[in-house]
Amino acid sequence: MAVEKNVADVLAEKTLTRRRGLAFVLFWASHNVLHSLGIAMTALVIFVALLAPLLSPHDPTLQDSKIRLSPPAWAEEGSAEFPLGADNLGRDLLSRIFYGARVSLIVGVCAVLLAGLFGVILGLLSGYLEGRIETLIMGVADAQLAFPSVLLAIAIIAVLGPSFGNVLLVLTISGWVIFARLVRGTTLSVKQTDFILASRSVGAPDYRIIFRHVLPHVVTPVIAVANIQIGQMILAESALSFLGLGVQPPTPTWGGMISDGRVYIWQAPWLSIFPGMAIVFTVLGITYLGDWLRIVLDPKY
Amino acid sequence: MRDYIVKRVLRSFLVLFGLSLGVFALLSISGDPATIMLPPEAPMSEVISLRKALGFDEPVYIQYLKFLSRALRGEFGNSWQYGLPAINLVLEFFPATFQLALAALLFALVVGIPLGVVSAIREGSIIDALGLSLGVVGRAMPSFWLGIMLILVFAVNLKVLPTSGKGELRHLVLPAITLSTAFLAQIVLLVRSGMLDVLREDYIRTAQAKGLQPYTINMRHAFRNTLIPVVTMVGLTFGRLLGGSVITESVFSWPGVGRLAVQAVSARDFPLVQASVVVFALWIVLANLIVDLLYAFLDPRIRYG
Amino acid sequence: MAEKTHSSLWDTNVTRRQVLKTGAAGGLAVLAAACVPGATQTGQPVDAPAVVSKKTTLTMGIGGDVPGMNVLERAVAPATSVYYAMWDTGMEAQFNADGSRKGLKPMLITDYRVLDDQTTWEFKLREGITFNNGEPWDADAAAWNIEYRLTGETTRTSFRSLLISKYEGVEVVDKHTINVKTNIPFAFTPLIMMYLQVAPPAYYQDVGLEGYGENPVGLGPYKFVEWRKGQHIVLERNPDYWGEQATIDELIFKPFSEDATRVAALQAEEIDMAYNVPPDDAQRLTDAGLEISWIAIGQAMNLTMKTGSNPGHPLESPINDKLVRQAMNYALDKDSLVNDIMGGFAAPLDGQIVGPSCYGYNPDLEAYPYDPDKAIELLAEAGYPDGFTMDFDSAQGRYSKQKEVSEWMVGEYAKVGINLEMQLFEWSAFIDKVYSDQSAPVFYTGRNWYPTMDPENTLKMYECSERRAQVCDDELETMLFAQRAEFDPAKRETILHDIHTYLYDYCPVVYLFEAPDIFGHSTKVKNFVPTPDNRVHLIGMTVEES
Repeated sequence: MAVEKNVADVLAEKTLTRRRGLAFVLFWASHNVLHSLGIAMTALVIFVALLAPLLSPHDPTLQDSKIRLSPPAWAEEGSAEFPLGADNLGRDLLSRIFYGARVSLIVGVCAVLLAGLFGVILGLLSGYLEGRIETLIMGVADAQLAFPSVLLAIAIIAVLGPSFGNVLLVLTISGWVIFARLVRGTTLSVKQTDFILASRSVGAPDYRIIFRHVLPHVVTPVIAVANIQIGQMILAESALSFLGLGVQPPTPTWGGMISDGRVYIWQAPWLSIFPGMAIVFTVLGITYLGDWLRIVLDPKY
Repeated sequence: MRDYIVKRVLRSFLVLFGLSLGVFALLSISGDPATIMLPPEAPMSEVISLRKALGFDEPVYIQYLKFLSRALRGEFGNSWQYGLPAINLVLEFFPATFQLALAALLFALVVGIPLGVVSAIREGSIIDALGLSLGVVGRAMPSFWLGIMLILVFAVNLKVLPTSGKGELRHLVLPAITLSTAFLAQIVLLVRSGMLDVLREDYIRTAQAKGLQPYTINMRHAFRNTLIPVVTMVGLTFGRLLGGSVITESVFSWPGVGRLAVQAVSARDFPLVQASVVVFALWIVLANLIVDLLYAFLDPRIRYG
Repeated sequence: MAEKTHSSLWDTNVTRRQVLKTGAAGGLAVLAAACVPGATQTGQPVDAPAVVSKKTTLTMGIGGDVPGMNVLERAVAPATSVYYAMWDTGMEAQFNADGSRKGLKPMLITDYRVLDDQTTWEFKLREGITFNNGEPWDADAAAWNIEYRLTGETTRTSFRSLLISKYEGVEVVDKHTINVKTNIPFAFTPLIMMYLQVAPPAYYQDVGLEGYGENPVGLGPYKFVEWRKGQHIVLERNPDYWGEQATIDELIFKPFSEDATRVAALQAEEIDMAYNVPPDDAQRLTDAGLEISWIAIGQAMNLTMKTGSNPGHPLESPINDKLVRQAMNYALDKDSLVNDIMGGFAAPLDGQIVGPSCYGYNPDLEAYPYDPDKAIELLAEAGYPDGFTMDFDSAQGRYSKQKEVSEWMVGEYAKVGINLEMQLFEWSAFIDKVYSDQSAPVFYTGRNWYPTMDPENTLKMYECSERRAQVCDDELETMLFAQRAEFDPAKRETILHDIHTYLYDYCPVVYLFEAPDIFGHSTKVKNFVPTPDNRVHLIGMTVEES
């Protein structure tokens, strides 16, 4: 028995040795422009979020109707005092974007982490174990997909009231299915590969097979989806705030700023374009970073 | 295979049952429909009498059992807003959403798959960076914002397409593009990462060593193996698109069932919410079944007992 | 006594604004002229006889989907825009050129009076007119319609809500006369007939509730043609209409729940006229060669305060103190709100919950001046030298710039030390909170006096027994009951003036502004005059094909 177990371990080790250590990966990353960009961009966003009070020229909630909808500094009527102009209530747009980074980043990252965590665990279980557990988990997943998220959000406000935690709750509840189904599909396929069949036939325990052999294979698609989902969650927050569940004003969030600014697409397009660019910048950074992560975590390297 | 389908159908009934229970529970805690439906000047006696007329004076579990027994017979009652049978309304609005979702799906696949394949083959190149970024930018743009921008450019300024509404094929273009960005990026990224994985597998190297044409290798071996996650995603998203197209439907005044359902939720129109949720659920169950059957087709190693 | 108030409500009430603003006399006069039955077919372009045969169409973009076409069951915006074209009301309001109230215009009901018992109202019905399917409009039809609304299980129109608690019964007197009985003397009764829109009884009973909802037959200038749900509603001119004929042959209503799309459709010339144009788009549309028509409608936007004075709805908060409520009125710059946030498309409220388009408007009151120092002083006097923090509920998606105005108030109040913690809800959740008395001490909402242009419904909120009354005050209640039972319009107006003066001091709300109706339309649309009763008067409007 002991000898047979070693067969599985040897197979696993073979893949592990290909990682070649962190030092190599960092070296390698620096040679891929995309990956370096990803690290730099993500770091910049985190930096801005952390230092928002120091970097912001104004109080993000202070309003002054005299400077309402004033354009960015480089436009004809712009002033250097408000580098990106002012919003519909006369608040400094740059300061709001800086402060918005905090909430939006936390919402996006936490929601994806939570949804991803639950989704991956449930997906692995249902794909690997099949049977009743699969029926149950996938049944819940189907029901969840058919469930109007608007109703979910409304009911949660009605019962728990609007709060930051409840925003995460709604986003997690509506976000885990995509991970679960993705992981389950891949698990079903990986489970049939020779070395897992071999490991099972020699009696390696399930948890070990799942963590050492199946999990590494689902990492790639999960990271690909997680990247996208972060941006999604940041945007979803704005939809929630429309239902009264989002982060409450006057706290600035990027999604909320775009949502408010769309009314002014003609008169003051900068109101929605700059926060939009902030989201794109962040998501691009995370995507490039994710591409790098994918390689770091990929067993085949 | 037949057993598998039977099992899935049974599971679907469970799903529907659980769903109806969940929807019912959430609806009943989301506010009193009588206060919401009545004009503001209505006296309290009116609220009480309307509650009674709608059956809200009974305990929740009795309400649910009554609902269930009617639903089993396919009756959802009349929509409280429209005064017309709720299920008929949902079925009347359903085709428009289906049409929109299908068009969006086709657009995303036609653009997304080639982009993902090329990005993977030319990993690290400018094309790769562009493909990756384009997908992300499309995805990071909120659909209401993108939709309005498209309307302003193509309908107001260039005047080449209509702003909104349903009618000829022209009316479908802008909403379909807007909706497709919802998963264009996901397809690009999944195809790209899937291909990159496979291209490093031993058997691909073997194939290269055997001197097979790169095209054959890419298409027959590499691409085929990316299909599992892509199909999962497509099935998932297509099921979701029906419900997730709400914003696109509102921006383009598209007469779809997503808009109908959300409007029903805001009006607390219980029969209409219930009917649309059940129709959504049936659709999603069906889409997932197709996806699972496709797994077996794409990866012969997967067998369903 | 019998003829006591007979038709005196038709009389004109001259107001301060009317005197001040006689300059804008153009449009409404045209409307008024057009309203005189048989006053010539003014709408037809005289110089273009050749195009008479060409069908004219007006395509309108309205604020959202029309959920159902059964006018007896439910009538809420934006469906009412369609309903008013198909269904005449019992009576309608008339206005002077500046939008101030002029009196009532007889429609399906030509005359009314209260009998000696003060609880029986006699209504004379217009003779010789028919529903659009030929059924006669007579006392039987009127009685059936009233009875159906008040006894039906599922009907929930404003007509029913306003009358039901006072309703005793309806009886047919002769072919064209009915009596409506109330359980108390209720001077407002005839005005409720302004909500009365009617269905032909035989047809309704024949096709049933659902059938009528799909294929409605009305009594009005336009007939139903087609309803493609979620897409459009088509109406055509009713050639057999009893009154002055409309000039536009066909009306198409298209739903647009997104403001930006509605405006874009107007610019792309897909629609001729757009309802609810956002104030910020108005200037741009004018520059683009389109026309903007707007008017302040009978809707008072206000910050409602739960005073805690009503034992039925007790709530401890700083605004229990009248000084604090007054301070909150001083702390806001209403002119800045109207001019900056609302873009000039609104009229500040003059320290009362109604505007000049409402009966009983008090011309002697003026808005609380913007005086933040005074506000701080009053707060200190009330024991809040450092201000205070309080919850504030609002919603979005209902009123023009609802979220923006709410956010603006939060920012402005912070400047005098009042920190409002805002929670923005989805509209229905907000309404549910407000009606079930779960809302925060202050919330942002609108109070309507259209379409009656009478304050009865607006002021009812200040009675102790009301469903969501946040005020209970003996002196006020005495006056409120007195005006309700007062049948002499002049005396009633005096009481109403006193009520407004009392409320000015009492401050149950922060008086903000009269909400606007803003329409954008192409230059093809002529003779369109918006009125404060939140409805589009189609008679006299023309569309000129370019």
